Amino acid sequence: MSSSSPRIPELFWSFLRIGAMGFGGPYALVSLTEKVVVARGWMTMEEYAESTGMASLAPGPISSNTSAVVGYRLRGLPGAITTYTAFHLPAVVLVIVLAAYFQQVESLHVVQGALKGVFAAVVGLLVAVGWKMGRSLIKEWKSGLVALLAFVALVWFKVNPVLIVIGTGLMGYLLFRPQGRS
Amino acid sequence: MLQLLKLFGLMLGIGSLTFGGGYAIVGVLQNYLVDKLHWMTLSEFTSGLVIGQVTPGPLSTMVAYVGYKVWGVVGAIVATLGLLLPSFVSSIAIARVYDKIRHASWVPAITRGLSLAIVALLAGALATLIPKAIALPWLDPWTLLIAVATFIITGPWKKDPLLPFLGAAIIGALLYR
Repeated sequence: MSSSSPRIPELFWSFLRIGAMGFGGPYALVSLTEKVVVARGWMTMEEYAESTGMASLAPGPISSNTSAVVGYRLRGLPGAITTYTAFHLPAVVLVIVLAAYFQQVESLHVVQGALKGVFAAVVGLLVAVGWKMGRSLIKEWKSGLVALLAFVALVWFKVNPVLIVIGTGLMGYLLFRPQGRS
Repeated sequence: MLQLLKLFGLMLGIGSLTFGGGYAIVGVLQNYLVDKLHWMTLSEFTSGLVIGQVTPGPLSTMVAYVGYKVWGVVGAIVATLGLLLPSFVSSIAIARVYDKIRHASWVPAITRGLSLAIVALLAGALATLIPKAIALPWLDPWTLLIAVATFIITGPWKKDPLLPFLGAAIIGALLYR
């Protein structure tokens, strides 16, 4: 826990906001979280990226797990309960309301149109956050190699993301061990 | 009551065994709820999936819909808690283990490797999203405009993504309905 750790109410509101605008899939959510956690100086980019790595090792949605790990690292167990609850609250309330009141899904067409627009915005956000993360995390050829191998394994060979994360951990151990430090 | 317990147990099981989230969970859910247990029809399940997609947050929160169909609001809460409990508990466990071992000499090397995975995962998400976005009516100028504008606002300008998201939603609602 660093001195710039946010207080519980601040954690609650910021994760409620992430949960409420979190459209566009798991990595959009992870990027939205980066825009809060790193941009406000609660964590360094390295700490946040590590947290997402740990989060991918747990079962369940990576964005949910990330909210728990980030909350825990910032404010311990109370922090984790706060971020996790706030992150899921908007979605669960909306799903229940829609389940109760929308019998015909056809009436959701305008919403689906709006979402196509948001998906385009998500592409822009992912490029922005991905570029920023890549630039601050890939400092020399070794880290570039790890990221590149992981990317090829993911896109080309369709390796499961959990295995990707385990693989990057292993490669990290082999390449960045103290005696091999450049 | 028994069905409520069964719902909780089923979600707990699915929540602990599905790594990678999202569509992995949806596949397993459909298999159990529609094909094995017959708790809902395929068309009901599909409606739930659409609701999961038009609501924010992880797709997995669509289990609130499943729970609602089985046992109303209580069912929705029970299903969500069941599915998410393993994710919460194991994430905390991993973070705690990290706290305990982080001063060991071999740990920083591993976490440095771990931190690079997200770069590859983000790039991988883009590798599937960009072709999809372009494939609308072959490079729709609006799609391009929204994507580029959002990039500039959230990237170089370092602004919050809320306004670009809202603008994109309004443009999308008007254009693609």
